Amino acid sequence: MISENKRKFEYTVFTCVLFLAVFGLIVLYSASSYSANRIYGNSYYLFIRQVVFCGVGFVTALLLSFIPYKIYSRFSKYIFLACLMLVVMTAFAGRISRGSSRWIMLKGLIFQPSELMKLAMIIYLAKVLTEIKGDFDRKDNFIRVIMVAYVPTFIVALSNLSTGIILFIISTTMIFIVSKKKLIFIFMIVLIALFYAFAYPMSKVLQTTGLLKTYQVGRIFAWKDPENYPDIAYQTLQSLYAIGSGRISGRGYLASIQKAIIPEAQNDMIFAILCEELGIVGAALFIVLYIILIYRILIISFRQKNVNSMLLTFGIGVHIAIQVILNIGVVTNLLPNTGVVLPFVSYGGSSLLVLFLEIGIVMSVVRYEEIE
Amino acid sequence: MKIFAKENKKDNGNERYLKRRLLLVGMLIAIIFVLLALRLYYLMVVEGDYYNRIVLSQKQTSYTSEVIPSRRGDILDSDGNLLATSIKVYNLIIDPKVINSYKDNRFVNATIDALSDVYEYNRWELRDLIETKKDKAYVRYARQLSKEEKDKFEEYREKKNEEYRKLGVNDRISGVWFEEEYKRFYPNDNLASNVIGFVNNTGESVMGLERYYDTELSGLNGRKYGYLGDNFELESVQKPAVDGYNIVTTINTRMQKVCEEKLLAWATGEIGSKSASAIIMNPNNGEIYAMASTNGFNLNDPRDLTGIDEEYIKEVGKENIWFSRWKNNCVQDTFEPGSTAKVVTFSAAIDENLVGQDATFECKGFIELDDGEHKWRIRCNNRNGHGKLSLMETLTKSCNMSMAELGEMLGINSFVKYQKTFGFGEFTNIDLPNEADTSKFVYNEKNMGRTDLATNSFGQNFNCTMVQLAAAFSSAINGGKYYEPHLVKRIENTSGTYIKQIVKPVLRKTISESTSKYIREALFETVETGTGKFAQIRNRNIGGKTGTAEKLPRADKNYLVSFIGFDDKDSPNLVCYVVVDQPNLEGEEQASATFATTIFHDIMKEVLSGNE
Repeated sequence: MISENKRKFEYTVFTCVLFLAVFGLIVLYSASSYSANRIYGNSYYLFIRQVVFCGVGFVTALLLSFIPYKIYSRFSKYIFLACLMLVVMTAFAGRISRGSSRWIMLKGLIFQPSELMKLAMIIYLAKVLTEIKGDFDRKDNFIRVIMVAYVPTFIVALSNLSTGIILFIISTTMIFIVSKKKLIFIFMIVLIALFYAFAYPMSKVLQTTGLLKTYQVGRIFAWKDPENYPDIAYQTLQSLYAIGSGRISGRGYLASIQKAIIPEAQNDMIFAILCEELGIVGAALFIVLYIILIYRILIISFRQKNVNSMLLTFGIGVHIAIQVILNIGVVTNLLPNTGVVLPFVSYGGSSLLVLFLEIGIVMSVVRYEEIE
Repeated sequence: MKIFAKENKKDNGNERYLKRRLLLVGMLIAIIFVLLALRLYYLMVVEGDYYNRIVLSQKQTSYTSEVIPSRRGDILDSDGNLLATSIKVYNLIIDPKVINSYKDNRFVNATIDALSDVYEYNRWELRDLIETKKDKAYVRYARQLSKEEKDKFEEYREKKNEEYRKLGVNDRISGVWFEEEYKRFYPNDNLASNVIGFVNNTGESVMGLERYYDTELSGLNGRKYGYLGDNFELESVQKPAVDGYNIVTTINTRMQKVCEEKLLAWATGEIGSKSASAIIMNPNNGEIYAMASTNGFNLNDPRDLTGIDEEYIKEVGKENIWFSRWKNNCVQDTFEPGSTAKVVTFSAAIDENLVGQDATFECKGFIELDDGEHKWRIRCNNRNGHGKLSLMETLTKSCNMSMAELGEMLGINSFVKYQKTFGFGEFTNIDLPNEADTSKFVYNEKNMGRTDLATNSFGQNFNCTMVQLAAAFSSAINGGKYYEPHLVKRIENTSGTYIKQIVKPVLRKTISESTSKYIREALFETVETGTGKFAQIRNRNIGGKTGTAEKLPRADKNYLVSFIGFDDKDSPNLVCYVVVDQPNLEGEEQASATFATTIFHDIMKEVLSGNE
């Protein structure tokens, strides 16, 4: 056993997150002040709430880093099932927001269980995949993995497509790591590439057959053909304008013009405001921080001798990476507009708290790493 | 823990395999990040200036918000009574963006309730509007509400929101505001409609004084600029509106009313006519007191065509009917004046000392003219001839032959010069739009023949407008001073300070003082003993001249009859000119100046009785 004083504190991850959160708050104040003032009559309203979320997040992450991940890995099945229940509940009885039910009221706090679902799934899937040791040929193993990896994905996707996609990508890449198969993944990559290329004609068909709701495919129309769907594409177009207008050094902090007209500038579109005010220099700073963070988490995963902790950290790294990619992809109109928040920067308590929990887990993995 | 350790040793190959796959995913993520970075570089560095221009142009349109309307000036009569004014009205603006700004719909129901309670608007329509236009901040829902209607809503809103506050509910009436606008209003509806003119709903002046004095009447709209201040509140700067000037006209509402009443009485009387018009002016300064026509309309509803036969509207076309009603006959129509123009010939001959007051004339009922090739006869109005006439009698009896003789004496050059001096063929430059150009309807030294001279001498074969003749006549009786006829005497700003005082000086001298005095005498005699007897008013020394002109084409046998007269013989201060166009009678029955003379009499009698 390793003595307590040799247990490591994960400085790189912690520092990266600290910088991201602090810079994120600075950007968030600017992006949210206009609508906070307009709606709540106080330009600090959203900022202060986010400061509280961040504070709670840091404390939670630090506390969690002192709990060996194996403890909650042991209960991961129950955490997973509880989350699944919440997700099912919200799908039926959640609060209606923007046409789809994603929220649940918990002791007066609005909480998005699908965010927690991501973490619960990562922990439990890591455990299950470790247990089956890459043996998918056994039927019961196969069913178990499918149940853990894709049932929540499917339920969440019904009401919240973007989170469904994120869940799908996380679980699939985790399975990819342990699976011996190649063809199925190549097939999937090809499928995704085809989807990317043919989403537009396909969604037209899906819309006419009624398989997808108009508000979901409308975003695909707006993505490929923004000029002809100016109403739906409004947010996308305006965020493109915002990003482009930032040019090299940006308009200057607090000087954004677009924040007054981009809907939810403090939320999914915050990266656009960041670009507008701080230019490509500011954008590069954030991207570098994300790269260091993701690289560091993947390196931690890479050096794990233990398959469970490796998959756990890997899942978390992929989760953060995929959110950054999807968010920036959306604001730059490389991807159709789906609501994905930018980790540690976008406004929102549920997402922030889950991300901090994940950072706590990574730090706990490092702290209780087995050194030979 | 032991299990895991065992596993690791067992699956050394497996571990390498896992790490290879992990590396693969890591590389994929790295590639995607590179793509994202390239995309950002493209948007921000390559296309940055393009997007920046879009943002800045959008900023201009979204923040240069409201126009502060300026108030169009009033049009007043000579005593300061309102003829046209601007009243403040309010447009109801709905802001669905604000109404939908809370997720709990706290504004939606309260606001819809308020609007339907106060104005009885349809709830479903409102709900639909607020839902479908939820991204819009400006929807003009109702136009031109009165101040009372606006206040009613604002009081309701204050009261109701207070109630909600006391009840402790979040519901509030919000997202409704009123935009100010001015609406043109004409207190006297039809009065002097052809003179005043009107302003379209779009704020464009269409005709009359409104059009002519548009620059002075319209002010300068102000603007409220909004921008994002340092504390992220939409701040605004105001550039206040500059209101338009008021114009004080020379119109005397009482005289205008008298004219319109008498013309209406004629038009709706036994005979009536195609149209009839009248002008009253001050011969001593060119101020027009009244200018009326039977084709007037309601200035507050200039396009209203009720009471007009549908078939007729279809046949002629709405626009044509509108224009014929909006037209000011007194300045836009030209016609052959007939005998009233004899005053010009008569004055000219006397002013040139071509005839003595004791000269005599012999009228045998016609004259024969020949230009070397043709020979023809022109008949006098009295077929049998007037016989022997004194100089004054040539005018009082309105003898065409004697006038032709006087014209002959003057010669072409002199006659043309006098016509011009009296303003025929020229613009009077009256302050009204679309004054008819008569320069093509008169002869000049080069193209006037002897016959033309003869017919011109008794008022035929050339065209003029009413206002031209009235101005010419005024100068003939006022001592020979030609004043520009005009309708506005003063331009003031909103606080009543003079901006401009309009006094028209004597433009030119037409005839001498003594000639003018003789003309007044002759015109008085015309009314006392000659063709204008019907114009007589008890205890008044009215002078005047009748006129009868056969309209073109002559074969139609249509006539325009007129009378121009003044009060009074020794010190003229009112000139009144009445023209009746085509009385509703058959052929030569129309040719009776009495119709016009009687209208003149009725107008002047009432005007003068009130002047005392």
